[in-house]
Amino acid sequence: MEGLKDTRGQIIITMALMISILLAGLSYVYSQNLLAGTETSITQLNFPKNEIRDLRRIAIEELTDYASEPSSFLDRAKELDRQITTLYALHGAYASIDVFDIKKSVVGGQETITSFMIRIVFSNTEVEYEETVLVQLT
Amino acid sequence: MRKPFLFSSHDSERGVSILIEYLILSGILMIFFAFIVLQFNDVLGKTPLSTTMKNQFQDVGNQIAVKLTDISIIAPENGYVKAKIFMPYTIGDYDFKAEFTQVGGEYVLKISSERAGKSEYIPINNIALKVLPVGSTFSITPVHEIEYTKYSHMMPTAVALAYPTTVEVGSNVTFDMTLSTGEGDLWFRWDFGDGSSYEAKYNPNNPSQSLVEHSYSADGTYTATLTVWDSYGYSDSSTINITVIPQSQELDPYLFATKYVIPEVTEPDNPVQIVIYLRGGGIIEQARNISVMHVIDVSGSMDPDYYGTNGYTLYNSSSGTASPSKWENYVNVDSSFSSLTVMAYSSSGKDIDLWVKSPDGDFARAQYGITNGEMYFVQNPVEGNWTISVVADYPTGSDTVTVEVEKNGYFWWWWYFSGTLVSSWNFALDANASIITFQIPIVENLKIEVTPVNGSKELHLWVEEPGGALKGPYSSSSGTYYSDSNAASGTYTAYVVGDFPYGTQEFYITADIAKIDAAKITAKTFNSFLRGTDQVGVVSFGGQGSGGATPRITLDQPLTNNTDQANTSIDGLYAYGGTPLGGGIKKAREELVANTTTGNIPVMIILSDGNPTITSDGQASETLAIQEALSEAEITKQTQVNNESILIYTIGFGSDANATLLQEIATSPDYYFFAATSEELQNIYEQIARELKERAAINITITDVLTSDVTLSETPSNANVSYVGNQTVIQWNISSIRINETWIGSFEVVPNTEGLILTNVYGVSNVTFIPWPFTGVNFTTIYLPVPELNVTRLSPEKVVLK
Repeated sequence: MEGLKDTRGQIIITMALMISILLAGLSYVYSQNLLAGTETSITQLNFPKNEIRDLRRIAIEELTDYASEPSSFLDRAKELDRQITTLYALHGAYASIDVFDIKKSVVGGQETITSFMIRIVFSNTEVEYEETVLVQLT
Repeated sequence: MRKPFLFSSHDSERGVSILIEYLILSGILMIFFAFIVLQFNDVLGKTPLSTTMKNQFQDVGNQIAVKLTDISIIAPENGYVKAKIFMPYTIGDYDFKAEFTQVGGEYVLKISSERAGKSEYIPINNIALKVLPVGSTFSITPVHEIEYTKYSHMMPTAVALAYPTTVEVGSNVTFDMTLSTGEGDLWFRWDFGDGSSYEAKYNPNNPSQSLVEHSYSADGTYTATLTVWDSYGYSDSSTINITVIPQSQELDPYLFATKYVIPEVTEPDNPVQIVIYLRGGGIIEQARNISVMHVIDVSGSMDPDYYGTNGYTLYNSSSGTASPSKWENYVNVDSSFSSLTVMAYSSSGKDIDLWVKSPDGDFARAQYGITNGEMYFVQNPVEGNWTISVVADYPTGSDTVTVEVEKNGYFWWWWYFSGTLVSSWNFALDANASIITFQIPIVENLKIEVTPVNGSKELHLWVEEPGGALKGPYSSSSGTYYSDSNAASGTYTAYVVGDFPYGTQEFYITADIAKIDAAKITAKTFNSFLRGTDQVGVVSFGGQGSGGATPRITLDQPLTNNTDQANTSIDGLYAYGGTPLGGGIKKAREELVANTTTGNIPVMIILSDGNPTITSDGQASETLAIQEALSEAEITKQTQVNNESILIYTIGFGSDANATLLQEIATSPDYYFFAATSEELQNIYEQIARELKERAAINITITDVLTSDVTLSETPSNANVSYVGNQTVIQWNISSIRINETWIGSFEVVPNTEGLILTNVYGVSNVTFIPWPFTGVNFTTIYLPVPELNVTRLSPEKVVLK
């Protein structure tokens, strides 16, 4: 009779072990399910499209405005670049706007800027963006 | 009962029975266990794992699709975007792969695990990219990214311009390529059409160096060709016709018009500039001389001495922000304070202001004056930190200031008895004025005033005169200002001091002069545009005698070629009395009739700031004075001098001017101008001076009708835009273009289709004008050329997952 009781105990232990394994497996699967969808949400929130669009808009609009005064154009463009870099650094990103290839005309007797190019750079931990924009003014 | 052979006892039988029972039970349990395990594996293992993989595959796939969408929003026309992709090494112990592919003609992103036999598909058809993304990445690689690239090159565009386009044999033509465009360094070559050519590198920093002069040795029509090329080997050409006439042939004023699209080659949806170019031509030596009479209102309203502030006009202005020069500290007030006294005084007597702010935020100016300073006193002060501010109310220099705080002082009647000294400070306080300088010529009246903008904080103004004397302070709140009669010419330095303890204050500062001063300055500016062969004279009209009701109409300067002499006469004008405008017109007409040089254009420029008030025979009636002015103007317009009508320009100066009357007096309403300020008056005189030179064309209308292949993306300035059917009509109206004057109109369009397209409709896109010598109303039409725009995909975009 003593042996019979020991055997039944083994069954109980075996069943308990089996249920524990199943519960552990279940919790692992469940934890993986919990993570599903997070990357999509993070991407939707983190992608800096507005920062890049703002940077592009500021660069083109401001520099086009500055180009009406050819003598101070480069100085003002450099100052704008410095301010942009500082501003974006405050938000944990690198941004710069570099003006080059400035073309000038003397048609009409006055020296005017007819076109220039802007290299716009943005970079943070997830996205790297670089664009060269031609601004044609004439 | 017979016992079984193999069993010797009851216990043994039972043992065997139990063993068999155990074995059977174990077997059943093992089967059941195996079944449960299999079911659990399916229910709790495989099924959840499958769901997990599906979810996580979709998560990774959606992440890539979302990034692809975001990239498409900011996709550069010329550049790249790299975005990191985050993928777990494994999902459910299975590695996997992400790749762009096509399934059933649909663009999809496939996430799959070969070992797990699982795949998920994310459709990406709707993402606004023009190309199918390519590439793949495995989850076990450490870095994943999606990269968008598009690199385009701006093809060079040659814009050939030359002036003049009609020229005598042997005279120089300037060939101008500086409107040409391209990427990076550009070279150009002019083939002049007579066998000669010129080649050079375009220097954008000094575009004048790229102007080429060339003359032709024989008459005829030559086609000059401009070729522009860049360092990448791309090139473009454009031509312009030059008409060369014999030296003996007269060259009447003419108008040249052409049109370009820049650049000529572009990508779909990229804007291009349309440029319309007009230039007056002709032999400028044939431009005619003028005989001009200044008719200047010298009534009392032109002078602040008689007309108060309305006699002033703005000469110059500036703006800035004033911030006070301030020292600040605090004292802690506790229950031992029955009263609080703060005293501040300067050592050398410069003006300082004391402000005190209580712990509950109220601040107040000190109530009592003391020697070289101010004192604040309050009984039963609120406990806490009291802020003490001392503001420097002086424009320059520095002073040493002492601040003392006492408690438990008291007043007996008007006598203050000191309490216990709690704190004291001693410090230097420097002035902090905003400094603005004005260059002022000699004027009869000068007024400099500062006004707060976007606020009403107190500002104090000091003005340092050219001789060095410092005048002030003038308070913005009480409306006081600096003024001087017979002011010397030179630099006037204004010091604006913020007399407030907190914040800043924006301000607007003006330098006003008498209207008579502005009239003199601008009339003399006009004279500076005249040549030695032009004539200039001066008539003034005002009043004299008691009340100024007696007309004072004087020929201050008969017509002369000597502008210095005329300027001296203008300097001698003074304002007083009524406004006999009609008499002034009559006097000027008589001078033009008597002394205009043969061949000169007779011109009268009338400046007035108000209604006529007296007639030339001394009747003080505004109605009669207006009637007389209109009558004299009509007679003047009918008067022929050397077979030419007298041109009458009128300028209303200041808000009191009678615009309706002056428009009627002028040759036509276009000859009337209004000036609110001295600067505007100067611009008008300059404009009249330019207009009086010979013109190449008048009443010019430029019409450009866009085809439906392009869309106007930016409305051009000073143009009327209308839409007829699917065509856009852009129109400019210009009163005149002078010889050697250039007019450029430009606007931006975006192509609607790909391929070789036309930007405007031939025939209806034209320039109409009345040609020289401007007799009659017959218009000449120049049809604008139709530049072609090549819209093509110069370089494809690429999207790669890797």
